[in-house]
Amino acid sequence: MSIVAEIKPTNTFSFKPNKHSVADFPMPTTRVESWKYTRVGAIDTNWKQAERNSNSTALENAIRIENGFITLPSTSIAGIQLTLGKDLSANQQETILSLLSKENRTDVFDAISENASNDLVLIEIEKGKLVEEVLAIELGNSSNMCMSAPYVFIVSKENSVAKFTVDFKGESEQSFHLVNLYAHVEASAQLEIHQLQNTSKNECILLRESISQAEKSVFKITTVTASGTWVRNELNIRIEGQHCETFLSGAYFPKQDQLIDNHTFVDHQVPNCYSNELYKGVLFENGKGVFNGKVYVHIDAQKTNAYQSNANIMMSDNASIFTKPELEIYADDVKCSHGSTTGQFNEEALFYLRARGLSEESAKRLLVSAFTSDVMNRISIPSWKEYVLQTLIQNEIITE
Amino acid sequence: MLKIENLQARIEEKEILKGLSLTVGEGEVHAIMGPNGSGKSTLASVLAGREDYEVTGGTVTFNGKDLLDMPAEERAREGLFLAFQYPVEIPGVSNMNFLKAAVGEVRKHRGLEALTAKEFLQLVKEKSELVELDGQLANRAVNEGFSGGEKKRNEIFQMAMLNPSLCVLDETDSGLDIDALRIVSEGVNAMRDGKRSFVVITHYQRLLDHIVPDFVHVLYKGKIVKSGTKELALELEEKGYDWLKETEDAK
Ligand SMILES: Nc1ncnc2c1ncn2[C@@H]1O[C@H](COP(=O)(O)OP(=O)(O)OP(=O)(O)O)[C@@H](O)[C@H]1O
Ligand SMILES: [Mg+2]
Repeated sequence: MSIVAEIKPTNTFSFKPNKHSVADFPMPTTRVESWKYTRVGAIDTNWKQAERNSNSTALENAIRIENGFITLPSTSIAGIQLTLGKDLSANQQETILSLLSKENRTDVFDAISENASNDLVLIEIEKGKLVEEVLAIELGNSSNMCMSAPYVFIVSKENSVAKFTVDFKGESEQSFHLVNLYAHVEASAQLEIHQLQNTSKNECILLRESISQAEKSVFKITTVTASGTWVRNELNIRIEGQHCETFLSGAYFPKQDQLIDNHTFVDHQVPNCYSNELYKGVLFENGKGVFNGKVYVHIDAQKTNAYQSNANIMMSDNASIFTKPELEIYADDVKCSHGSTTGQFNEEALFYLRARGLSEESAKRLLVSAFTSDVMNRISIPSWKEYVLQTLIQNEIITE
Repeated sequence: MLKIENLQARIEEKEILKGLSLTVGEGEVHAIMGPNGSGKSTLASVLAGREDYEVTGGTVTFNGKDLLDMPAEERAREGLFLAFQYPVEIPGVSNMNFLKAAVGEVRKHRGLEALTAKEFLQLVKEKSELVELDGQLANRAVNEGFSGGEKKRNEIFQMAMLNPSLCVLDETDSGLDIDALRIVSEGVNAMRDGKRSFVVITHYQRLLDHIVPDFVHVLYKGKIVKSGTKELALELEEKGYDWLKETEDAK
């Protein structure tokens, strides 16, 4: 049975006019270009709409999103205002509607999210504030066979600086995270989001992120998928103001029959901006990876500097990767480049390490950590980087 | 120490070693010379356990154990060290981390206690001084951006760190200037302790002036065609290989 049949509309977006109707959209098939390599079968099943876990308690320093329901941390962070959906002012509702309206995609998952969303949170970083503390968001599904559909909205106000971590934890046997994150980075603000996905059981993730940047803003994001049965990350970044910098990076390690799909879109709408994209994959066993990196440079976006790189190592003959750079460049005075490599392990290097006494397994892990080190070095929060690396060590992907 | 008997090996259907025999005793230094393509590096690779080469016949015993039966890492742990002719660059893997792991594995295998961080650093300092390797290089990625001479010194540095009982040096002299050659040779000589054995592959007498061999062998077309003492190397330097090739090809 399809997930659609199960949907009972919620009140989360009661303030939103013209909600989409789920019935108006079909499930995407592989005939749809952006779903060509990713079948939705794994997520199109009869999930129960998630319910609040009444035993769930607030975390001290992190926003806890459990079964899609949001619990704010027990201590507050100076410079960050957190507001749950039910507590939004009229102005804040307007803010959310304007964030939503920036995303011009509408498909069945938007309609499902909008109608079935359990909860939302608006995170506002005060103007001019340099927030030293990291704001952590932790997502887990504690009930089995549930679909959780939370929304996170972030507004980095003018000239603010903040860093987030987003931790997808595997807590259920089988469930579906349908997560929407919208962020607007105002003029001269800096926002970083560092994400880890380690849903080791039969959990699926569809993460849809929609970012917009005003002039002179900096946005950086890293997404490490350490494990996950079916993971699709859609990251759309609209660069609306001049002199912005954008760094988007990711590393993915599908094993067994896992599927990890990263669809990114960098939309250079205005001149004089810089974007730098680096995604790396190491594919084990029957693991499958998809990387689709779209960069669109509008006709007026002169002096755009856009770099994209995707590199993959196949650790098994049965693993597969579908990688597609999509560069659409309509301005003439730009510097854009993309590179994509897929290869086997460097046998020479492997032998060299073994000839010094390292086992084949640890030599491989050393080479995997070397291969992905440039992505890991973009994680600017040392404790988070350590946590990500420890997770990869535990998953027997890299070595200490 | 090392006993190679009638060793035959091929790569991609091409026979390269065609019945090679060589015995290296404890504390001995053997030089192996021979024209390009004769199979010297192949011998070194087969000894180190490179799997691209298929051993089609013969035996190799190392300290009484069947060497050919061991994977490459076990050979290293058992005390065999190959200084590569072309050390590979491994971007992203720090020399230090890699060596720490290697030293750890080797010591564990030999039943020695793990070194503390301080002891390890002390060892690094001592051994890098031995080959006058700039301390900075130890902190960089393995061989990445090293000059030819630095790569070779790094090989000898690793050798000193791992404390092997049999060292195979494949053209460690090539790419070294006069000073570097002296430094590397002194490093090697410092490791000669009457027990540790060496197989030194080289084209030139120049190296053997510093590392004086007990025996010299000529490898040609996958076999040892002549063996002698250090005087043989001088003779080869003077006469080249043609006289040997002729007698061998006439057979
Ligand atoms: N991967 C390979 N595939 C095919 N042939 C190879 C391969 N590696 C080596 N050979 C061949 O094996 C032969 C022996 O090579 P080897 O490198 O052992 O010679 P060498 O004596 O070390 O020469 P040099 O003095 O030039 O270092 C050569 O003819 C070489 O072309
Ligand atoms: Mg050679």
